[in-house]
Amino acid sequence: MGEVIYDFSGERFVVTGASSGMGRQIAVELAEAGATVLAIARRAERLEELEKQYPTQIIPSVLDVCDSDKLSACISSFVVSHGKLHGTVHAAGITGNAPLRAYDEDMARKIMDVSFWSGVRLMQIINKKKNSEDGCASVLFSSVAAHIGEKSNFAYSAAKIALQAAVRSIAKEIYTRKNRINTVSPGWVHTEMTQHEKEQNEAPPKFWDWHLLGLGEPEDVSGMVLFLLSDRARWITGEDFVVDGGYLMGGYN
Amino acid sequence: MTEEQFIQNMKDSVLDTDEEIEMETKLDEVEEWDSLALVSFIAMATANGKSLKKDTIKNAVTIRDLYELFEG
Repeated sequence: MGEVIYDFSGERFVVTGASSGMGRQIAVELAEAGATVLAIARRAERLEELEKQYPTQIIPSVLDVCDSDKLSACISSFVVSHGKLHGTVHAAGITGNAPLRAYDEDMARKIMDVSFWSGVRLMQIINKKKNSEDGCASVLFSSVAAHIGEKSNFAYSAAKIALQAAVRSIAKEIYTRKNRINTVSPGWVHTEMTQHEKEQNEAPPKFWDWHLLGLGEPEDVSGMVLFLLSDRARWITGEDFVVDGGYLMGGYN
Repeated sequence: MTEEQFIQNMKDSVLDTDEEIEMETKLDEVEEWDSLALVSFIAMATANGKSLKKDTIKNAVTIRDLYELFEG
């Protein structure tokens, strides 16, 4: 089997949700590919671990992505000290059990805030000329939940399809500098977030079988993200890319 | 909003430009003054409680004209 090796030497990226799961995997792979990464997350100790692994390439920043002012200040400071950005990945996200008859509205709104509103704000900051090089590439995490809604999951599904809709509109605003924006929709990937979801929610038994290639690992999805960040994807914008082990086809393992 | 704040907002939020902008700068000399900048200006005015129409804005010649619409 062939292998794809990316070279992001001398390039700079922002990754949100960088302390665990998909965000962490992408921050690691970007660092290993030579990039400098502004790694944003809430959990300081997790970011410190990451920084210890890649002390010259991971620049940690502990903050809540929903805090727009801090997010903007943090990115501005990074740009001043390291240079303009080549891309960003918005992997910050939360799930929560939300059955229609008994959902917690605060939690449902928080799901939308973290995935959608902070993602939009991040796009606004990143795509300013003062913060990014021409051709800046952004990838935001949507989900197969945006395509198929499972029970007790409307808040998460809504937040994730909202991202896809926003991306199609934003792509038409940012193209003049060759900037690009896309979403990736993973199927079920083993992460802390999905483990939490599994413990709180009841997926139909067939849910697992529909992943024809089995359940995923973060590295099964990160390759698509790195591709979309790279110049090989320079003609791709405003699209969603499903990486789900065959889940959406609805077949049986 | 002061003139200085207005110019900064025009640069950051409406035009997204690093170029120097002054109150007397002519809009047809600003490369970034396009249809997206125009709707961004309307959005900035709306957030400031001011409802402006495209046709009114299209009559503006300088940054100062926009400021007067914004503050008017």
